[in-house]
Amino acid sequence: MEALRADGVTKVYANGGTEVRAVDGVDIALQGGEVTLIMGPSGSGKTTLLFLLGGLLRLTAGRIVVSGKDLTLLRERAMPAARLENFGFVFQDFNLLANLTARENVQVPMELAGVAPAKSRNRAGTLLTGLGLGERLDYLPEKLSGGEKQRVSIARALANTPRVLLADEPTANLDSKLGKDVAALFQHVARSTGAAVLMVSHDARIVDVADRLFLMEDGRLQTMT
Amino acid sequence: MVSIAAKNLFHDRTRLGMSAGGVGFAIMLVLILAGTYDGFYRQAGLFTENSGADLFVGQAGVVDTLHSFSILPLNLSDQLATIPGVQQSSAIISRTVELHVGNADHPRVILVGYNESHGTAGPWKIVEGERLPGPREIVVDQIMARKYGLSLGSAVRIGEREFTVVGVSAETNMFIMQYAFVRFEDITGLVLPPGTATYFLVKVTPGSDLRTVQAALDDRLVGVEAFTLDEITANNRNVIAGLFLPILLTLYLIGFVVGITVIGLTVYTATMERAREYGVLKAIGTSNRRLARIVLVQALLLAMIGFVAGLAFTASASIVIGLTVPEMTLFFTSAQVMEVFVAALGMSVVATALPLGRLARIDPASIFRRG
Repeated sequence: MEALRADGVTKVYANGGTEVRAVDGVDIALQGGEVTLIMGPSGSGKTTLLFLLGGLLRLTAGRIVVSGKDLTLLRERAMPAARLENFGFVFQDFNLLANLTARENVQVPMELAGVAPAKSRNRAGTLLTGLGLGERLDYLPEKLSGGEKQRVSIARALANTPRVLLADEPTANLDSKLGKDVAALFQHVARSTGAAVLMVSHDARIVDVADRLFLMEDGRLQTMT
Repeated sequence: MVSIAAKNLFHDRTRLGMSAGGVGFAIMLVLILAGTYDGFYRQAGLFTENSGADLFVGQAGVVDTLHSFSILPLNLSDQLATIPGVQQSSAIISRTVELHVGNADHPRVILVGYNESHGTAGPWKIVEGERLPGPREIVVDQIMARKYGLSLGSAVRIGEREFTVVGVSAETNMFIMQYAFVRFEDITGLVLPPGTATYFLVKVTPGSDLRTVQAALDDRLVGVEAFTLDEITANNRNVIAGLFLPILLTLYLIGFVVGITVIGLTVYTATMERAREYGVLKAIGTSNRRLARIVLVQALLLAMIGFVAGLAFTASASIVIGLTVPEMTLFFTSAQVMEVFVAALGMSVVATALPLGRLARIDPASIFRRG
């Protein structure tokens, strides 16, 4: 099932007197239950594409449809709610809230979406336990290892059962084994929740988990598999 | 909702303690100023309020008993008796004089000479000894007594005349001076020319209309002006307000600015330190309005903690002031404390303006690595 469709997505930045086409007419469809991996050199535009697909940046041209809704037609004010409803984000540096426990970090997006505290607490516990962190629920991020932090951030991204999970270099700060484990976890999440997973990465070690692989160069997307 | 605001605030206890202390100090400054002002303001009206008279009659043009000087002939009482509605009038002398305590101390007092048989103008609250001084006897204020070591039986001198302390009164402190009470006969001709008084206190016949009697006094008697107790009390208090209000308002303002600055700096620092986390929250789907609420709650919590600290500081400071500067009468009301509390909350709202502006400009995309 198609979770997200992007047609002719373009982002042009003005740089002095010249225009830079960071993303140039990208067409891509993300399928639920599949892992899509975009690789490419630094400056190729893959992170910008991630911003655009996740509603963090406005397009210069093109359109993005998520679950039948055209994101490009939404006003700026409506974008946070659209992100909350449709997307889960996993960040390179985990970006957990330092003063909140693992469980509270996972509760945040649920409570932003209006889930009652008791329910969000239970679900956060279930998600973290499912990711092997049942013993770490009330730990602050500073007490967690890199792999554990990344699993908390994945649990947070899954909290509202998003249609699309967007991950920016999710294995960059992890060692080889942990990187592969986390990549496998994304595959498991896609299969078990039906969410479409899109990762952008330099990390060639995680290619195995991708159902579809793209290469980004000079703002253009090429299909690899 | 997981309280991000409270968690952020309570995470660094040392900084929270210092910030709450800063806010508390500002609150204390404002409360002490307000208490001083209200204490002074209240004291300024107690003498007239408790005088037992219905009308105060003074020299024309004199509108208060603190700041201006009235002098009237004693035989005015004959004319007063002819005014319809005047039941009784009593001359008093009220003058600022030096009181000689031993050889070294010469404190200034507001000396009131009154006629105790009329039941007006005497001390209204006695903490020790007699309320009514006899010949060559004096009632002094308790703060003055404590400060100069006076007790029942002590001797003091006014001019060349010696008086014995027979009573100690309360609520008769006017910050820089205190009231002292003697018999009218003992000071006539001593602090005023013979045959003169400063005011006449009038009691009206029961059932008479106060305003009518007041108007008759003003119309029929030349060179005098009559005031109701409310008017003369308000005039006395306005003298205090006029003298001190501008200074106190300036100091109030300084207190508030200090409070706003402390809250603002704390919230700004706490917000900017966590700018990346706020960016994460934005990326996840938190609206600017919701982020503003987090910052606002942080500021309000800080203001409330600071307010409680401020109350504790004020209570401690009041004890120290009472011991070291007893003339400084602080008067607090629950309404006044509530006003300062509301003002503290207001300070916190103002203090969030800068951090909120910065927060609104945080780009959620900035938390991603650029690739």
